[in-house]
Amino acid sequence: MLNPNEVKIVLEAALLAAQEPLPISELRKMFDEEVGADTIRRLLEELREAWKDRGVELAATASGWRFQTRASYQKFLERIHPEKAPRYSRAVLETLAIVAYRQPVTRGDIEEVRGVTVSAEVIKRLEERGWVELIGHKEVPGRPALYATTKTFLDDLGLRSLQELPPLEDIAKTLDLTQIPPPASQPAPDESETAHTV
Amino acid sequence: MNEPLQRTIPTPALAAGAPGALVAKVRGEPFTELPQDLYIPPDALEVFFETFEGPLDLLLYLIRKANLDILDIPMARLTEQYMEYVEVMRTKNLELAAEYLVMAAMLMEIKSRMLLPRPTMPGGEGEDPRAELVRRLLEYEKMKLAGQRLDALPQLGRDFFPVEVWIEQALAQRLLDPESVAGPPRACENDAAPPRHPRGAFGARAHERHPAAAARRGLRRVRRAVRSGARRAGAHRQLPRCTRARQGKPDRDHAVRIFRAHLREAG
Repeated sequence: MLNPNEVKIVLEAALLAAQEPLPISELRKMFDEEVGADTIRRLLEELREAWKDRGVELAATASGWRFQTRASYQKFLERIHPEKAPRYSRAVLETLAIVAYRQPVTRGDIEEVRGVTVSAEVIKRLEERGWVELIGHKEVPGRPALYATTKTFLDDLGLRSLQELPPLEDIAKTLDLTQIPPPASQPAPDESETAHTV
Repeated sequence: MNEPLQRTIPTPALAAGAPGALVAKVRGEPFTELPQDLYIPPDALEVFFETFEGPLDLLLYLIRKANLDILDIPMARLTEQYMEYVEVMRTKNLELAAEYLVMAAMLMEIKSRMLLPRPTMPGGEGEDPRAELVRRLLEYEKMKLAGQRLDALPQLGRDFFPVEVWIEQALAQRLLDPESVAGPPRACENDAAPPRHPRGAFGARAHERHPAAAARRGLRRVRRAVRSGARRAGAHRQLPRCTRARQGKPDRDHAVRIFRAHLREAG
């Protein structure tokens, strides 16, 4: 039986060597299930703390735990990493937001919100990135496809669940519906007079 | 708009006037010039297309930037503008023109409904004709901001990389390397071949469990490589690697799966 410190070192080695995020259930298998999930979680937190000041950090995502480089050093790393990550247009980002916050949605739902036709290209880009997938069909005439976000989407944005999406701002407060004022109170100087006298 | 109608409009609509002259009063404030934001010359249509995502976006912009509220939009002029764009758009992008046309119609409908006396229902007021438009504008703005927020989150591949230990690179065999794919099976018959490195075991485990997922990952890598690799030499380095090094056996199944996934895509 390993002591907690040794377990921690094994976890570190496993996570550094893994290609994909590893869930706690997977990590437990290394110890013949002898170490409880709570213990692993606590050790992972300790490990995360231990890597706090390094160029690499331990992060928890939807699929599990993984080591990743810190975003603050990216500007240096990308100089030796010629492969550029795709930049997405507003159309793609707005579509992604609608799928993420209102899922599952049909293409019609997206068009309703955006007020424009959603091109097949936009959905395809999100599908290719593995962020959005078809999860079924809505049982209405025409059986339109229903889209939802994937685990990869959460993983790639470092989120553990949809609950961690940035909260939608309460914009309603800033754009208020002012009541139509009665005509008499409106300043139409030369006209209000006549309007009354007519 | 004729004269009697003018009187009934709560906020004076824009009258044709020379620059500098009082054009209108908006919420009691004198207004001497037409808001610059309101007019987009047709020549600038290309820019216009790029700037706005659609009629809702344009309307939101007008309301936010020109400090108009939905009530104060000079409908006649706005509609005139819309119609000009629609004319130009007809030659370029019919679908988009239709969307702007619908918006223009909606604005006109709202304005005309506001000009009519509202039926006084017993026990409550009729719905504000602007309510539906405002609801849509708010929902759109929420999603627009949400999209910006999602884009601001640290993103894998753009803002950080997953950590890859060097040893994995050293053991990796390259897919489509003719020698490893077509060559004679080396140690594969020999089941007793010891793992060359525990690292191999790790890569292999994930692949053995989810061959389809592994193929998808491989496919993604190929796509990424093709997208970005075409531009520069040395692109072959980006090709997917076979990580099933434990048995020292080239993973032909994996290669075939990626290849078939490609064929499906192409087909």
